[in-house]
Amino acid sequence: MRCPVCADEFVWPDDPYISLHDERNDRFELVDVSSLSPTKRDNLVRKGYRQCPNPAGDTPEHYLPATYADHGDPLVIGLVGAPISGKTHLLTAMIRQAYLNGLATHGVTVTALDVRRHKAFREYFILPFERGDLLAGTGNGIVEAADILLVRGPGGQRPVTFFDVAGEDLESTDPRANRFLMATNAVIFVHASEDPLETGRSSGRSENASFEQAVAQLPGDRLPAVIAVTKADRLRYVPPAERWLHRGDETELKADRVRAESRDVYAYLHQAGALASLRPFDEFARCTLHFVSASGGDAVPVDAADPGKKHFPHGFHPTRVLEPLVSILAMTGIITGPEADRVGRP
Amino acid sequence: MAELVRCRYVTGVLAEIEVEELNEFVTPGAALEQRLVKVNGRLYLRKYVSRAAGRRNPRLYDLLRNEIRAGARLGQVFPDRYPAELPRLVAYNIDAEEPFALLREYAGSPAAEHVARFDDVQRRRFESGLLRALHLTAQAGVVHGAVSMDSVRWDDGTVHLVDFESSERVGEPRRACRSAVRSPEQTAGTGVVDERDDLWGAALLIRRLHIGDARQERGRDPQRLRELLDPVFDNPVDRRPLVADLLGRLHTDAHLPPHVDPEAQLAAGRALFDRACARKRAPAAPPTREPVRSPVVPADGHGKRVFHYVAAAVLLCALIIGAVVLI
Repeated sequence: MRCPVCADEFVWPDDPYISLHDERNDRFELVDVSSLSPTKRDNLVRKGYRQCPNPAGDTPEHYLPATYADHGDPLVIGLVGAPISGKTHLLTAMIRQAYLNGLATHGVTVTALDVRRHKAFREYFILPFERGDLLAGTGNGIVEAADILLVRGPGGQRPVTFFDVAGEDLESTDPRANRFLMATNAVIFVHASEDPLETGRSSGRSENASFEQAVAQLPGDRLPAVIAVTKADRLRYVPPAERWLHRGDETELKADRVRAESRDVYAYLHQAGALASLRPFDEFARCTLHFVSASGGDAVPVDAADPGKKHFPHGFHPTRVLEPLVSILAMTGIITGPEADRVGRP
Repeated sequence: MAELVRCRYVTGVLAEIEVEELNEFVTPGAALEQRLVKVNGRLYLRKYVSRAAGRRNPRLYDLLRNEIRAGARLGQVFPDRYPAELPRLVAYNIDAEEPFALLREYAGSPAAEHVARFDDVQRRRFESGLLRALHLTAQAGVVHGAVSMDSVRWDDGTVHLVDFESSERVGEPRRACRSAVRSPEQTAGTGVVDERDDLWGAALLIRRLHIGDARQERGRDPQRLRELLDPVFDNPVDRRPLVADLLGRLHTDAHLPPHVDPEAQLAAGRALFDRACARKRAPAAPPTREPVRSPVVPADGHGKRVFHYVAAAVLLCALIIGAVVLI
């Protein structure tokens, strides 16, 4: 078993000890469940955790759901992108939509595997997002799974872990900061549609350090990848993004449509001069590209006198945020069928 | 007092402009609030949804989105010589507290104020001008969706088709919307939008222009009018004539001003995508020579430590052997 947090490999313990979280004292307590009835034992195991032994000893104490190893091969999805590229918003919108049964039309259901982690994710990200508040970017130095879900699809059930790592960390040369990539077996490259008025650049970035780091470390011949152009609402009336955003969320998986969107996103990035952001497409054997809008629009200042504090006055309207995830689920065999089999193939 | 506002041009580029509010402006075909404003000394029309109006009727946001989407498309298709028959969207901000569209000031005044006094020549100019406006929108793949006397202005012989709040795009599913000026297909909201959808409303308007009382049985219409409009009224949308056909029957110039395909600039990128796919599909060529591999150093520095241990062991052995030899 490879821990999705520290990337260390270890043998999943077969002992009867699990850790239960004591909410009041915010600490884990080790419990022997061997003497309990099967019903009680199963119930505790579902709520329980196992501490990762972290053989390398280089990561703060961390716990995995006690049922983490009970399902199929864990799928670890990393979000890679420059600072302020919209990773946090995309991840929040994606997980929220998945919990709202947004994958049901693909025969996929989602439940929280790590209830404690999901509760925190919901409190700190989903609820503020639903209030229309602007989310803070990922804090530096955070290498922690955002949420761990149990995804059941036609191809079986697998724990799915999402990582959202601070862009600054990924762009640093500190190998510890890039550790999470070692545990990743699917990746979403996040490229933001930029406004020259805000970035001060007249064209796309000639380099994309986050993408470069990830491309260099990940085996592109084995891992599925997605390039998601976030903040696409800025392009909502400009072709080709306009056509895709206007379609809204898809209810059926069609490989030809995914390919057509990929081709349009590729052409958009090429035209925008963001050639560095296209590199994953060349390096990853199976790769799709999508336009997404996590919030559906740009945040605006709450008060003109305080331009730093922003919100979404008309609420949030996530658009096509599940498309990257659907592509990954198709490319990793959770969504099955002839259409799924063709997704991302050149 | 001028206000600095953020907005996007029809190209999607973000900009900041100073807008000076002037006075309210009303057109019979608009459900949205409108104000005349001044930007850089020039008059513009600001269509917007105020907080209060948006709370009362959230559908107004959809109307504004329709107006912006149509205007952006028209601006992208006619970037240089913009046709006088159509409203020109300059900028928009759909995310603001009070989202808005900024258009060039409309020319002329509502057609209803003029048509009663039209002579034959003016009526002919009106009908050909209206069809020409639809010829232009068809070129951009835009359907107005509510062509009526309320949405047309008259400016000394030129027709202006304005208020694209009900507009749709050719090829997309029709929105069901009940209105006396919409075709049966538009009213039912079935099938996909066709550039000929607007002909129904235009034909009703042209008939009203000539007959006055739309309730009159069509069989009593003048022959010229019947020859022009019967193919519109008597056929389902896929068998209706094109706007260009009707312009031809009126012997009206159907040429279009210089226009572009907004997607043409994506052609190079799409071709590159196709080439990249072909490259990825091709079987990997056998290496011509042994690839040079750089030593792999694990991220946690284990490799470096192993190297140090080996070096230290070799050094220790050498010292022991040296000591034995010396002894």
